[in-house]
Amino acid sequence: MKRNLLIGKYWDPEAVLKGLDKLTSQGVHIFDVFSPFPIHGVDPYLKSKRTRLTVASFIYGCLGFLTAVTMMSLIYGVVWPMNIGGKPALAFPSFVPITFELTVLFAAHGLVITFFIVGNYWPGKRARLLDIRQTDDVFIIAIDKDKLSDESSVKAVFTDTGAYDISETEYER
Amino acid sequence: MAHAHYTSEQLTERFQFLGKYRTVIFGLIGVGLVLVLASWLLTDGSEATTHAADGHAAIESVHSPVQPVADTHGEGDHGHADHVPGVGTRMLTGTLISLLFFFTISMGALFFLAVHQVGNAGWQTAIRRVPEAMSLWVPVAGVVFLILLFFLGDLYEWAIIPEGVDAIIDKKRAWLNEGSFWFRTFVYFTIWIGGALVLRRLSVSQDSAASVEDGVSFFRKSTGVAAGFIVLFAFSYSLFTFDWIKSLEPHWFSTIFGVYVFAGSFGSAMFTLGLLLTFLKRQGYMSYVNDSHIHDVYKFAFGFTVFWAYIWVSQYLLIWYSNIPEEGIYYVKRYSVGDPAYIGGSFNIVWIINLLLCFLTPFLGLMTRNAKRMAKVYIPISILALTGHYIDIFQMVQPGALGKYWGFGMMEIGFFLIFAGLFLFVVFTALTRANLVPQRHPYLEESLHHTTGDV
Repeated sequence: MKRNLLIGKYWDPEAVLKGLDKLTSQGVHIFDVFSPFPIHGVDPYLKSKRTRLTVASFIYGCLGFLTAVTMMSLIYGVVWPMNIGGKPALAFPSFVPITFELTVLFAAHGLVITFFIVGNYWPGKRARLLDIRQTDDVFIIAIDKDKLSDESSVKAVFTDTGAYDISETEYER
Repeated sequence: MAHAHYTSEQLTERFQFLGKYRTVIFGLIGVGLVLVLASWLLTDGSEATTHAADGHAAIESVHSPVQPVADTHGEGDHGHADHVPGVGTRMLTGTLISLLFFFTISMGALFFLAVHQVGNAGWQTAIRRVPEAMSLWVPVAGVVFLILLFFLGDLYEWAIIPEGVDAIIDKKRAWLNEGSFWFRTFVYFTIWIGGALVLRRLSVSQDSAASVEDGVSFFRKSTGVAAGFIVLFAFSYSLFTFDWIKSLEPHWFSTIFGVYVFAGSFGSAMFTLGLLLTFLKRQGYMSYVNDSHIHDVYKFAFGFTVFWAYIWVSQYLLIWYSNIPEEGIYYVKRYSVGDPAYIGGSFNIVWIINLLLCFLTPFLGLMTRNAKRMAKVYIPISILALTGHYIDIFQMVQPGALGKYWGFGMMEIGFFLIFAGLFLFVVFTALTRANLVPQRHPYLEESLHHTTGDV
């Protein structure tokens, strides 16, 4: 979905926080903040929903657990029982390390792959930067212009809080 | 001081040791004493004295002078388990279990302080007075251990089995003899009591510094002390568990045992810390301790239950694989289904409950983020996990000291209540002695603004 964004560019993360505070107190919805590093205290202004990736990760973990237990039970119990050190073929203690490893493997890889899919990061994706320096030293507050009733007051806040540049741009995830 | 959200009264508050807390604590101790006395008097006294008198004779008659190593497996247990242990041994075992329970918790708290000091961790500043208070149980526990030193013969079979009877114990005499046992115990407690008192003193001295800048010297000093303490702690705590817990079964050995006890003790310290913080908050103290602090405490608790299970399996798996009699006896005793030669065949219930409460319950119960922040979830989980820790200590101590005459009854509950009362008394007294917030601490501001993403 294409969006028309109104963006303010800053040199200073403190100024970004001030700008966010003023905008939020005016009831403006913040679309996103782009910064070269995580700024402490930005999260509450973004009002992002809690991620459900953790639930996904738990399910992948359970899947890994079941895969390990089923696989080893079938291999050692049914398909190809082996005598290792005189232990019974279906010996649960010897399954523990593999079960642990596969649980972790599934949980971690599933989590990362899901994150890539949900975040739309396919291989070879072109970076959509609002400003080439947003990965270097520029901090950006982005507002969805179409949801905005009073554009001039937002621009005034940007200027007041020390934005060095105010512009409009199209943005698509 | 200018703190954004908190008044200076909130940041200089002190814990009041109210009469109602005292009533509860003395009630615990009183009930505990009554239970211990009752179960002592209800036990057949004449039987106990006979056994105390002929203890040595009984052992010598059971063991042949030359004892091949391979025989130890089939023969079952030595020493105490071969004859009915006296009520004195049962009392000492009960004391040791409850003492170790609270002592491991306080050592976990002491390690918490040291490791956060070395790691320059800011978040814990607002809550650190509580682990400080918990760590002051270490000196008191030291006194009880000192008393137990006089009764080594009733607890540890290596202390009464004479030379020439047991080949394995004879080989270990260089380490396992009363003189060096006393010496080592004194060394351990010198290190730990020293560490606890010095860290506490430096932290409290910082309160009366003129400014944060002046107070930093205390902070730097405690970082140095904590760094040295951690090194000594690693060695001494491991050896302590070998001496005081593992040598209950002197034939058995496991080099990972110290790590195993440590994992349990740090996790339990975090569960106790979480409960104490919640209690203090509900009593109207520590308004500046937010959900994020609690969340972080329970992250530690969750992590260390997993670590405990990891170490548990590491110890079990190698012993299970190699299947050496002297090693395997530890688990055969604890998990001998229907084999009355060892322990009566019912101890495996304790053994399984231990795993369920120490690992599975907190692992599944505290997995989600919200569970670590909601009191109605983490309080029951904490209580279950601490019960699990008690059972963990119980299954370490009882099969070795009492063998198939193990038991859980009024005696054990009584000692637990006595030690619970004493522990709470020490912790509460320590809390009244200083402000609940460390003053002039360089990381205080950071800790008051601590957040793990409350969106």
